[in-house]
Amino acid sequence: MIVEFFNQSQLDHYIRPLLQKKLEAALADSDFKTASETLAAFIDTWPIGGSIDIAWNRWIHGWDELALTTLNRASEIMSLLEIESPDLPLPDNLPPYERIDGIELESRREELCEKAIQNQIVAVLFNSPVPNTPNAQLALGELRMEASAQLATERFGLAGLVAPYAPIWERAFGAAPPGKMGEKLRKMCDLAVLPGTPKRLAKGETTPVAWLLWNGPAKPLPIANVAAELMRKAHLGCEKAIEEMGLSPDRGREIISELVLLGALDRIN
Amino acid sequence: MTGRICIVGLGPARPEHMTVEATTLLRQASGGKWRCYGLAHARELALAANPELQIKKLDYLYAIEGVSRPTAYADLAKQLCRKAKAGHHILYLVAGSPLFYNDAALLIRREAKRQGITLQLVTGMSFVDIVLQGVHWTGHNGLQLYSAWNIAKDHLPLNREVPALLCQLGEFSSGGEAIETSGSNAMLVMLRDQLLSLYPSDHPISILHSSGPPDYHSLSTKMPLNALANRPVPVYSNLFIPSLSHPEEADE
Repeated sequence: MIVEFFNQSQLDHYIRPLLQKKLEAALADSDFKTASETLAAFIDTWPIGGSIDIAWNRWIHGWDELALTTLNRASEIMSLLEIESPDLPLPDNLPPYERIDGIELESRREELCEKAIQNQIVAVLFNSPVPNTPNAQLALGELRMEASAQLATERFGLAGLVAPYAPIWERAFGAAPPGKMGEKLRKMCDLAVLPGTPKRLAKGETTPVAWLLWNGPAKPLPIANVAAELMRKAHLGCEKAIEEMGLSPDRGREIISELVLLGALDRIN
Repeated sequence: MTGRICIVGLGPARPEHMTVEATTLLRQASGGKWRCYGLAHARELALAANPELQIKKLDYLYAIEGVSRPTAYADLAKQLCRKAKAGHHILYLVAGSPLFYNDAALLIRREAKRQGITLQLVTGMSFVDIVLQGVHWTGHNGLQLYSAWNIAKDHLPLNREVPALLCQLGEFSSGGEAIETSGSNAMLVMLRDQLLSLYPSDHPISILHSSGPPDYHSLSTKMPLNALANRPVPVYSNLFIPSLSHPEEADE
């Protein structure tokens, strides 16, 4: 089951090591497309690992939209590792939809869009891609505008029928809750130095980048090296950490305040 | 039963520019009687008048690779008329006035007429009202209204004794594609060179543009004609050229 696959032990001892190995192999081959996809997957294992239990429960008990996005991303990561992911459970009564070949869309545009306007269907599922011709793409544009679950269904398959407003993964999570400033601080997330960002890696840029990775529903964040170094020394206390870094007190406090605001550090009570 | 189409102009910028007729229509349009369609800026204006309005997003028309604006507008006209024929009441929301440089509105009007569909036009304040605030034009000497493209690329003749307003300085294709400010220079050079064949190099001109959201103040920059291409202009800029006999009309 997808939830067990992403449990903490699996993440630490199987999934992340496997992704790391795949990433190293892709980098060694200068296959930057695969490297970029693998790095993105590696980063995403943090928010997925920290929220998949809740996502599963919210999906099976309420067809929750954010849950669908999370489970779908988890499924994509399994596919990247060439592991078959199970189909998500669906309600017995799905909203009405049509299933056609992509090539049929242009000739059936009027009928299908009118059905969508009349709420007789919420989406059209395509057995094959819609042709990349102007008329077919204009038809698809109109269908996406009129059929409430069209985009979600194209992204998530049948599950999208019941979660029409499921966000794309990149917009699924916001910032972590901010911490509180204090002299003694603790880390609220993991810190990892990775070979860049997925976007830069896709272009072949491999300059290391430090990432803040929360074990929960928060968007991972790349940070500057100096901030990462301060994070590592945060257990020493603010004053000592700033002194060891050789930063001016003002500059050091400014960086620490930013890290607290980002929810990466929090006061030890 | 056939439905109808209403094209509503929402004014060029701020919600306060909307006519009472447009505002009243928008307030009555929620509740499912009308199906509303619009692009981003029109939606923003319409929602300011009626936040409950459900407006379908037409932005996809600009995002399909290989589909020119004329093709997209023709498709939109057919689509909205088809919906009206099927019995729906269609509210097509446009920023500015549907009567000024709005090819889609014109195609919808033509297609509706061809198909015998009832069409109502609710005009709005046009960009002309806004941009002319930046100069001292009175109307007594007439006005030539062209797009910058008409002069720079199509070489349409200008009458030097009649003031001219050249709009869409930042739209640099026959399809009306809006591009970044940084791309305006090539067009400005062509326009300047064409105008220098008609006017003295020190003839005063005014570039008229808006300060953008949220205030949309009318801004004017006066300069001699030979300085027209010296710096890029905002995308939706206009150029006022006073007549040879009344150069003072270019004053702010």
